[in-house]
Amino acid sequence: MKSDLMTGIAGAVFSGFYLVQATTVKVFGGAATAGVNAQTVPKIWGGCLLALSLVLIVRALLAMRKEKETKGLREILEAIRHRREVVCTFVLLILYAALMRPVGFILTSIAYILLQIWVLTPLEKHSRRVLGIAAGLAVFFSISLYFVFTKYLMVMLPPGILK
Amino acid sequence: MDPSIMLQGALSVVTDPLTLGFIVLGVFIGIIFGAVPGLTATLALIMFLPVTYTMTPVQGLSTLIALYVGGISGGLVAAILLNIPGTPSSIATTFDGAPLAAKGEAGKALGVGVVFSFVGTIFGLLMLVTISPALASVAIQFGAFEYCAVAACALALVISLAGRDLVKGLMGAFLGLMIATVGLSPVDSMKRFTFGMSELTSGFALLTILIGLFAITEIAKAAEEVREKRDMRIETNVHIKGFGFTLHEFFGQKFNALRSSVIGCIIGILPGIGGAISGMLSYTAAKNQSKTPEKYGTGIIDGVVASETANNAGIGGAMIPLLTLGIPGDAVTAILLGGLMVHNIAPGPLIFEKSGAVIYGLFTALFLSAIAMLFIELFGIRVFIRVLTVPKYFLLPIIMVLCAIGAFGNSNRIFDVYSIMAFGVLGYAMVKTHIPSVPVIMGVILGPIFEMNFRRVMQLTGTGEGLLDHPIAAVLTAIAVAALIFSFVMNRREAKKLAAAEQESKGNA
Amino acid sequence: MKWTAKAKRMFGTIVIGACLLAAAGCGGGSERAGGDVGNYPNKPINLIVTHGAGGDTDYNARLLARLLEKELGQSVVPNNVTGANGSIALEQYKDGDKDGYTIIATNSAALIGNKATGLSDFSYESFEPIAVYGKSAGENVVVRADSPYNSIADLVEASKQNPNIIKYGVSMGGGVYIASVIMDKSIGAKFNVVDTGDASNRLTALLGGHVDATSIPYSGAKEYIESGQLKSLGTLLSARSEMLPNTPAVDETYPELSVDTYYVVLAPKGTDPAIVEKLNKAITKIVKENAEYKAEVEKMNFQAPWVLSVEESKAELQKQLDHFMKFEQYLK
Repeated sequence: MKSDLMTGIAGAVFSGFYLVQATTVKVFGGAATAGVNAQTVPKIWGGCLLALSLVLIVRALLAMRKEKETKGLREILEAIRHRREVVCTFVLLILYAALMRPVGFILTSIAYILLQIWVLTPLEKHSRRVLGIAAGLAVFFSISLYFVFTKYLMVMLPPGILK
Repeated sequence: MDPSIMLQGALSVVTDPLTLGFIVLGVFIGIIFGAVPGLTATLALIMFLPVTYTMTPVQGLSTLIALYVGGISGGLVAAILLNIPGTPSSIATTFDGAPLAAKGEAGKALGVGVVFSFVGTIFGLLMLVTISPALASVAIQFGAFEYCAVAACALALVISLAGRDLVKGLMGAFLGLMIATVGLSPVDSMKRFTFGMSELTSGFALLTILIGLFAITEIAKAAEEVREKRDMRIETNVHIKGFGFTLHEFFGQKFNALRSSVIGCIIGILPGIGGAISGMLSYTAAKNQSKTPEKYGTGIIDGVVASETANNAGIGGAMIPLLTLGIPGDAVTAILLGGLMVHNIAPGPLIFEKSGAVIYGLFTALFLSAIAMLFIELFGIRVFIRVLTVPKYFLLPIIMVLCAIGAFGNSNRIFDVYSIMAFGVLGYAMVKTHIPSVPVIMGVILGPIFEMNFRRVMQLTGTGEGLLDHPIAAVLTAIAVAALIFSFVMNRREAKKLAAAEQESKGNA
Repeated sequence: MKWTAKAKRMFGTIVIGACLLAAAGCGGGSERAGGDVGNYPNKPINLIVTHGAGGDTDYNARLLARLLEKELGQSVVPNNVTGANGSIALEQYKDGDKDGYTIIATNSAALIGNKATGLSDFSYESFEPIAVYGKSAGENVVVRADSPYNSIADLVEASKQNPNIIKYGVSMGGGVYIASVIMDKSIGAKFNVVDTGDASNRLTALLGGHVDATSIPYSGAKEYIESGQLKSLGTLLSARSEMLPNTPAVDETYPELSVDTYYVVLAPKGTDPAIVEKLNKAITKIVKENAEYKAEVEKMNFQAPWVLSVEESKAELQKQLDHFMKFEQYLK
């Protein structure tokens, strides 16, 4: 179970990093009692996760020895290519978040909604009509939500370059 | 309690058309806030609190109560239709609500959720009206030892929700506990894992984790299915008769509803725990006491009933410490406290003597809000269900934008929007590696409660106090240990059953 | 997904349209009133409140905001940014926009106390203080009605006789905590200091018997003192409060212990002094002349209206800073 192995390794690395960071937390003299301070509980959690990750690694190795099936790199890339909409979706989401402040809520939302709808639509349904609806929805919702939230509900959405 | 004051209070609400109007409006707006993922009941109250300052006390408080009721129950709509909890309280509703919708029974799920939300609210209200002073005096007995034990108990029960793979379920729980340590430590406020970023000083907001793990993963899952020849909508019977489920089914749930109400009310009374935990604990209790626990999660109404009854019973429960002790149980009741004080109502032991009429008006408002919620949502079900006829590729991007707004509106900073994306990536990775997200959320919520009270317990032991000085805590700890063993056993049994079922289907194939 | 020609055209149109919108938007926007005091304020002011809704800091801030709106003619929107005794909000907003449209309402225990306890590495001098606009009715040292103590001196004496047995509830890092440390180092009280959370949590802990003594703002304890469940041993103020003439102030027995808590409004450092002055004048007018303000603070918080000018505010804050910093090494 190669994925379990990777999960275990990731967990071990993460908990190791976490534990190291935990030792750098400052200790507040006024509140430390019997050796329990701000570092104690994180160390417990990190230690447990580390132990569990190691268990997972061992379990995965044992399972891998039994089965001869391993996923080659080729198959993994193939799986990703088959699901490139997922990658596109995350790219869109991250760009949306990153650009929201500098460019502004309205513009980034229009672009995001339009492109995301296009990405999610099944290939056979791609058509001008869908694109038109997408654009309409994008513009309508972005602008109306912006005004409802900033004028009435006091949520200061970033105006960006449309100041 | 002087009956004439009670009557006066009740009448002041019922006879004032403006108040009635505010209640209906409040419930309606609350439901919208609750239903949209990213907007929460807390946000609704924060936004409308200043508006209530200029109203009379009864009007203002009635509006806030109505928003609260609407907000808590609205969460089930998104939970069932989109598999995204609209508010933290509805996390457990997704466990069976979404599978029900996937089976084409969304109307039934919504109907059950709405009706039992009503039942739960009424139960909480009954407790509030009849025995609140008695319950409050019990709540006072809960100190650091007791809370620590309660948190340990809840964490132990997480194991029974861990799913087939115990190791991964536990990893999820510890991951959640670790995420919760980011920020300032409880008790001594030392910066932990902030890497110099001032935005991380307050840690990650629960809302952002929720949106990231549940909402963003939904859109990622939808993106996965694009290439598969699958209809992007679900066959649903859009025409529903009555409530969507039968009277027989209603009575079949009576024990479930009672038990869930009690759990929800108790968790509501204990300040600081919250609706998410009560929903999940109630679900766990229902599952463990059921004769067919393996059916939970596949789409049975019991799961929805357990979750929704509990979180609505918590409304009445949370108001008990609020009114009798002046202690807010969660973010929403904290705002209600502010609302009370602005109208010169001081919570405390003398509240019934000093402000009796207003308080009874409040109770009436709560009752009317519950009724308004029932009717608005029942009518609304027919509208909500049509949401399922909109193709996912149009619906989900707009939901994402709303989630981004909700994240931003949480504290008016863009960092929270970055957070939801980060947790979205994490959530998707967790889906792919089969790490369940429910233990993570429980870890995030319970971690701080446990750590804070654990540190305080250590401080108290400085005077030589021990567990045995606190009988309640001792009993709870024993229950926690028992729960740990019990959950372990249940988990192993469930895993065996699932494995056996899988073997069978492999054998037959 | 394939980029059809139509899709490319659509996208291009939208991008161009957006640019046109942007150009239009940039052309005719409202000017930022930089140093234009006469015009201030010409849009809503954001008031960041460093403590949670319902508490005394929040109550004072919201009351002030409401009355400032009428005075200035622009809405003043309170926004709670809580956490870590106010240090999260203070750190986040101290370097904020200097145009005077984001101001901060806090209390002196957070502003000054956090530096002394090491929670923050800055104090009032990282801001432009606008006004010290209220003095809290005082933290009252409270015990249960059935306990044998009748004054703060009794309590302290008892703790010296039985060191580390009497549990004193504080909020670690907060003003009450600082007071407890001062009690230890200046007076020699030997309590077992336990973290118990904010005022309402300390109240329940006291009622439930989890701690033996604590200190709570009077507005929180009032109901219980009146109903006879708790008794107040005295306030931690430097003089008897006008509104509570029967409660002794600790200044009469232990002057070192007095901790006055002020409510303060701040602006980010570098804000135009003229704007600061304008705000101070508006606040002063409200506190000194507005009848509604006086009625409200007296009724809800047992405060007498009290306000200082910009210079006086700075002096008062400096005085408290010096007082706390004397104990700095014990507080960390």
